[in-house]
Amino acid sequence: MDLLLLAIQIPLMLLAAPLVQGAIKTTKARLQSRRGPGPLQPYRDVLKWLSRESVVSDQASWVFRYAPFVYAGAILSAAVLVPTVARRSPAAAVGDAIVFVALFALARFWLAIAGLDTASNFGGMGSSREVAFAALIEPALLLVIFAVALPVGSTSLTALVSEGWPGAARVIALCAFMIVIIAETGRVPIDNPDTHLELTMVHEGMLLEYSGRPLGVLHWATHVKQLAVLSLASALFLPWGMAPGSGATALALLVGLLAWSAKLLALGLVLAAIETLFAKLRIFRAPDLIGAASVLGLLAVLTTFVVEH
Amino acid sequence: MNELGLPDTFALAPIAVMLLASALGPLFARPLARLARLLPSLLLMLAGSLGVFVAVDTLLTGRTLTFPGWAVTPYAAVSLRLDPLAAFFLLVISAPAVAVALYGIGYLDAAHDGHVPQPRTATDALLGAFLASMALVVLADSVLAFMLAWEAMSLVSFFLVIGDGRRADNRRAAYIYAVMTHIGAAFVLLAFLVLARNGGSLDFAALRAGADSLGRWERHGVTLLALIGFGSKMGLIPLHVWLPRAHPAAPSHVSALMSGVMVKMAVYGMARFVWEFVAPVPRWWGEALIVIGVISAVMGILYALMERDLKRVLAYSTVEHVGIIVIGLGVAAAATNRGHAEVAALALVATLAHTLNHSVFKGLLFLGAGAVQTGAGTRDLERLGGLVRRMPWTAGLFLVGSLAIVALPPLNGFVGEWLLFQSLLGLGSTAGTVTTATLVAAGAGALALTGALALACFVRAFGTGFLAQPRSEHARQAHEVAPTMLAGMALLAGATVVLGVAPLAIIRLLRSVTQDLTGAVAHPALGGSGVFDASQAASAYAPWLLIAGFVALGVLPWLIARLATGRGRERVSPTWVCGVRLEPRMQYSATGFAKPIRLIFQSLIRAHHSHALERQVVPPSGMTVRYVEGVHPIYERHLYQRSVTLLMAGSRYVRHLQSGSIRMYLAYLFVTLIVVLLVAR
Amino acid sequence: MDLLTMAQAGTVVDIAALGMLALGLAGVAVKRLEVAIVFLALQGVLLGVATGAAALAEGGWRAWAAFGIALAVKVVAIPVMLWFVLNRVTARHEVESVVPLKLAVPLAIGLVLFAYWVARPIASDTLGGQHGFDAPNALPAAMALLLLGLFTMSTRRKALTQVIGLVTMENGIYLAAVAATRGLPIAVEFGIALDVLTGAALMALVAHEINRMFVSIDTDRLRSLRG
Repeated sequence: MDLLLLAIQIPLMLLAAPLVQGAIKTTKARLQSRRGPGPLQPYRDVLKWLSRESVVSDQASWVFRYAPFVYAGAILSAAVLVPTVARRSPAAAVGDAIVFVALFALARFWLAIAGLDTASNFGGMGSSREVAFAALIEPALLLVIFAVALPVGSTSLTALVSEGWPGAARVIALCAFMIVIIAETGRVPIDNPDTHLELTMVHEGMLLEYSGRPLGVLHWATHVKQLAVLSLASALFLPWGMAPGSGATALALLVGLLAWSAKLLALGLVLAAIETLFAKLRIFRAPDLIGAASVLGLLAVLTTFVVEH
Repeated sequence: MNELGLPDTFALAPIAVMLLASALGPLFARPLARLARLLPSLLLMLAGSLGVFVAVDTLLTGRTLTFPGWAVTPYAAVSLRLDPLAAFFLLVISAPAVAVALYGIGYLDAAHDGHVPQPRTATDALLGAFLASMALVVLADSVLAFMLAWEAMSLVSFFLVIGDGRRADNRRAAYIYAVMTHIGAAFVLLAFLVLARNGGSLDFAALRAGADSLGRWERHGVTLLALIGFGSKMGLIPLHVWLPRAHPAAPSHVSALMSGVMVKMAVYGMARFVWEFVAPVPRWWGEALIVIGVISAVMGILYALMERDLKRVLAYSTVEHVGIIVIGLGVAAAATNRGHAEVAALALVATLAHTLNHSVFKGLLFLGAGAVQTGAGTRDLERLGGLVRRMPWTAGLFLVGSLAIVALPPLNGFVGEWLLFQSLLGLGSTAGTVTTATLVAAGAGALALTGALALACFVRAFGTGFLAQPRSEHARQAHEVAPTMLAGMALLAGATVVLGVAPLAIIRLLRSVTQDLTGAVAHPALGGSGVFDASQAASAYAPWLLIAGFVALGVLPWLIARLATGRGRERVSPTWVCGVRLEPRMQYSATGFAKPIRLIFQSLIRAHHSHALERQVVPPSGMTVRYVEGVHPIYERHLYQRSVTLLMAGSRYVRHLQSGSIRMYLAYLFVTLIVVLLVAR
Repeated sequence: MDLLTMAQAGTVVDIAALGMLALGLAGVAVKRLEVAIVFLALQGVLLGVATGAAALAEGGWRAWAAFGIALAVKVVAIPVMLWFVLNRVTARHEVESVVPLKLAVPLAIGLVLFAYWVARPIASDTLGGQHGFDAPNALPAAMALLLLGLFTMSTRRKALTQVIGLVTMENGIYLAAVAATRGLPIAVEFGIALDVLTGAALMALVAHEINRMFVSIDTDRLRSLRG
């Protein structure tokens, strides 16, 4: 079962990730009355970068060269842990929700030191902001996981998948998680994925010195990261249509796949709407928003106990 | 030791060899200079290896060895005992000792530029005595033995901090250290005396036996006394003020032991109190420890982020990790109190595993900082940079240490934190009360905050210290350090990897300890949240599978790219900085890197900064900006300064007693005698 | 070969203790230093009698050694030394007290009563058993001597009288040791005796020096040295 799910999940994550990005961008363009580049554009971009020559800074050390490899490895490993089509983590024996968070941290660490490696002030700026925001995102993410995990008594991603309708605690946790998603995927109102303006950029700053194939891999992995957190949201809070955890038929898996796509589309729509409705926050106002996610997470824990005990 | 036919007293061999190493260096210093250079280090490596052997053997067999005591007076004996808990801490002492001794060979050779203020023989002799005194602390089985070893440990480390006493900052650090450590020792002694009064003897056995008959208020009092006493040795906030001064002042390999090992002696003492001498501890104890631990962890790492001296960064990070360890102790104590033995066992395993792990990676990082100081001549982050090219091995090893301390998989730091999260979850889901659950969740959130801040801290330390362009002539002239130093660091780096990928080995080692203290074993499939259990509903972490998946998935995009678009090409070109020439001062400074965090957490850390424009006398640039920043010393100002002021005022009052008249003094004696007789009757 | 039975020795110790107490009280009342020194020497003699009785009853070289020490130090060494210093340092051989004698004597008697009050229960506990002599007055007397010695030390101006107080105190301790344990371990006894001898010698020397510096042995003059 696990091997089958793995065989589905790995290509699914790699192949669908740019599409999710494209779908969000297209939706956003339509919402803003633009035509937009079409949902397939991220594929073209990634392919283009993969085929291009890489220009490496003369200041760069081996850290800069290995960082994209570690980033991709960590993000993809994390993505494989998330339950998608079935109520079961394809690699529950390898790691749980905490390993998932730690893998994101591993990716972040390497990208941040790679940003510093080229002696560019933009890279340093990106790293500095990234790690500062992460300091707020990680507690929020963990509190959400704790809120969901406390009644279950386990952090296994399989165990965390919601049974039926989410209760009040999960709804609050979902609100917190939406903020985490926005922060983790570098979206408005915290970061702007479409800009290279030095005053605003966070994630892009660290990538600035990358080009060609490594840049392609980094972007691709970033799309996967976005897909992974969205999938985690759908597994934790919107479990409808997922195939059963064991003994699923091919049909159930297919239904699960369709349900998963529909939920991702819905979540993408929400993200696009948020990006359209809100302006980017001033960089030092962003912590207030992310801090609110932590408070919501704690509130979710409280609710769990008040409601369920 | 029976399988190998060794006598029980063999367990004391490590201590004997440590003391031998301490004595031999000075003895041979003159006649056999070459021998004196190597012999103490080699003996210490031997002692460390013996210690690891004895510790692991004791842990695996779970046996307790007692050694006949030496009765100094009828009431106070010096006696030793090696039980699994002591053996585990012997392991924590011995394992880094091997690496530190090896490192010391090259480090002390290179110590000509004054950052090791003592001659080699003195440092070696003190190092041996330091290790022996710590080993005796954990082996002590009576109050007298414990306090003797405890004070010896403080005294020897005091001399290691003060060096030859020529440098004012070392003297000051040592002075503050001495004051704080003695205040701590006084509290510990007081706690012991209360226990001894109850138990009727100064032997630990009597203290253990008397734990049940402690009165309610005695229990509260002893707990509080032990917390303050051991807390000051651990460097818990606000008793931490000595730590960031004293640890960096010592020679780096000693710093590694002070930060990595010595603070753990207080953890050991605390564990003895919680599970033996005051068992069962008062109910508030577990929660209080969690809160105290959270404060130390979060504040410690925030202060670490504000420092620019690499060793001070590491010292503050020790405050953070001590906080994490105390959270673990708190969870274990709370679970014990509520009767959830399995959760307590899990939390204890988490705590002790993190204790060992921290001693390994913090040791590695301090040795790395020493290598930076040796190779580049400074440890000021604002004057470093670019060392990855000039000191590639040191850089690589420091990176391993950084990855481990940030608790990233698959290194050892992650194992401890993962276990701690699991035990927090275990406590939260078994507690069943809103307050405990919320506290536990907040603890988990704080732990995550700490982890993320630690990531920022070590990205900053490694990124500005080792990467990009050198920021000073010192860093430009840096050179790689001696092979023995690298080997010492490599030993510890290897240990971080081994402990990271074989977490089950640690759990196996700790089985007898948790059995002794909590009456349960943290075994796979624990309640709802299993540990390292492959069954689907349980939390799991499998390092080997993760590494395999990580490598395979990391390679995959490249493979796809290769297949889709052929071989990649690469060209080298200057960094793009908007078309001007790249200069070292363009890159982010360590101070600048931490600025967003400083702004976000301003209300917690009370940082201050100011800048002033200064007219430059020499052209071309007309003006320069002087930027000053720092952290307000709030503890010193609000806690310590006030206490000192109060003390001085009190002293002035008491001074009236000092009349200078012998008759008055005799009258005091007289009155005291009368009062004592009255009371005694 | 016991020349005295335990009971007889106990009676001797008891009487000696009462005699010492009387001498101690008288020592508070006297005005002339010479008399005080003589009384001190007499105390030593009585202490010697007590230890001698103990030695006769107990036998063994340790008891005899204690007897020897008591005689050598208490009867010979200290009084001779004090006598010598007395004649060297000061012309006025009068006791100078901050508490008038009229008040000092009732206070001293009060101290003796206090000592009896404190020591009686202890005395009935320990004495007459296996370890001590059956001498009901010995321990209270010892306690009283201790208090009187300290009282003397803290109310007298001259350094010499303070030495007298110190030796009185020590006599009390010695007596207590003899009465309660039939003699301490020899090392301890010897140590105490040596301590007191050294102390007395030092104080005598200091008195001599104070006299040289301040033309008086009034320790109150030392107050001007205060920082």
